[in-house]
Amino acid sequence: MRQKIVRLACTGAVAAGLFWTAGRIEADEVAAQTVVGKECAMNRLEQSACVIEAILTDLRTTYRLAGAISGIRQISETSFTARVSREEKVDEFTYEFAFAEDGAVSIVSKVEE
Amino acid sequence: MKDTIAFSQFDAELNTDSCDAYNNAELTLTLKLGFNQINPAGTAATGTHNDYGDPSETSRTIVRWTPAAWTTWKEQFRSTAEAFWNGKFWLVNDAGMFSYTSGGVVYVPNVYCKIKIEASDGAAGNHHTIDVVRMPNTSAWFGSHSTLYDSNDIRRHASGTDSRGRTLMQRAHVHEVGHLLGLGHVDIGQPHCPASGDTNVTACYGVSDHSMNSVMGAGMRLRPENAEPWRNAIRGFALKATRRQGLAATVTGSPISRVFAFPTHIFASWPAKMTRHYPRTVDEALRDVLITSRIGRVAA
Repeated sequence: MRQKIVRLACTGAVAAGLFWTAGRIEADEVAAQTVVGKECAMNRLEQSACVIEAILTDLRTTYRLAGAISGIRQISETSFTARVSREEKVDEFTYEFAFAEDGAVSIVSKVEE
Repeated sequence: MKDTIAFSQFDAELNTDSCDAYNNAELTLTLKLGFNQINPAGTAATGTHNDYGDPSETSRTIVRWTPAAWTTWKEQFRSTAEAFWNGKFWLVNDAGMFSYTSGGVVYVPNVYCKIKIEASDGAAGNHHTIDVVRMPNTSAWFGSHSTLYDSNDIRRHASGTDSRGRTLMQRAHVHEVGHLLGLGHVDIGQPHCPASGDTNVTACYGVSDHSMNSVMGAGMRLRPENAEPWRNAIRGFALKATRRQGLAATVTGSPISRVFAFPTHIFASWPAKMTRHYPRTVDEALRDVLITSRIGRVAA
């Protein structure tokens, strides 16, 4: 069973966050800003699932207020928005992804609207 | 003497009648809040309301307010928010104003910061009007904001996570009262939260644990900078007093003496402290000695 690497190219905070989640991720993988994701085949459904998992991983490790994910939506071929509802407002983050030929996905940017 | 100023966000009263050798002037901000019930449609016991009052957001179950529940909630809001903000700050009087004599000694009072919250129904005569939905249980969540609260906003809830993964707790209504007093989020003005941008983005609630723990972040910690509403108010009273003095100078003084009648308030910063600071003699004030413990004074 082949495991696919989900590359999280969003460095810094994500890498620190991944390290902080501890236990599940090896340090050398963090240094390379990669994380072993679940197996996902090279088809559109699995690739979009990998994108969503990458967003969930990022939010779990970087979002520090108390909020609930109220939506993840694709807005272009490579862009996705994640909405987090919390007290006072909805936070909206736009992620830009890169897709490798082997199916791996990488976050190349994240912007809070 | 009691003096009052009506600000847009609150009323302020400066009371110097309280002053003696040990007691300071008292500055009380009165926040008049008008609450409106948001109930299910018609006479239904339960219904729905959307987060933030926005029909495009998630619909949540709400229940009808009963008179008893409404009265209890308002009183809990009022009393707990007032207890949180009341009597926590002292402003050091570096303007040398409002001096008085007690026991033959001239003192310069510091300013004890108080708050009074009045909770009533409706908008009339209030500084702020807030809609409130009632949640079906104490664990239910609703997307509230500055003018739309839910009944659980007076309860402690997990509001964030610090850098070590520890849960931060906050009672949302004390944070919101901070906003009603004019305070912004803790990190406004920092590079990651410029005042010219959206000051409600996540970074404005604090990046460091210290900031996140602030009541104007995601925590419950009061900090001296949270005394800003009282500092603004005392500057108003100082200006008012100076104008009065200037007016008096118009009777007896030259034009230039009017300008320089009492300029000290212009340079005063009224630094906020979170421990009691006793009134100072003129000499102590001139030497900038802070009196933080009860020392022997001449009885009045």
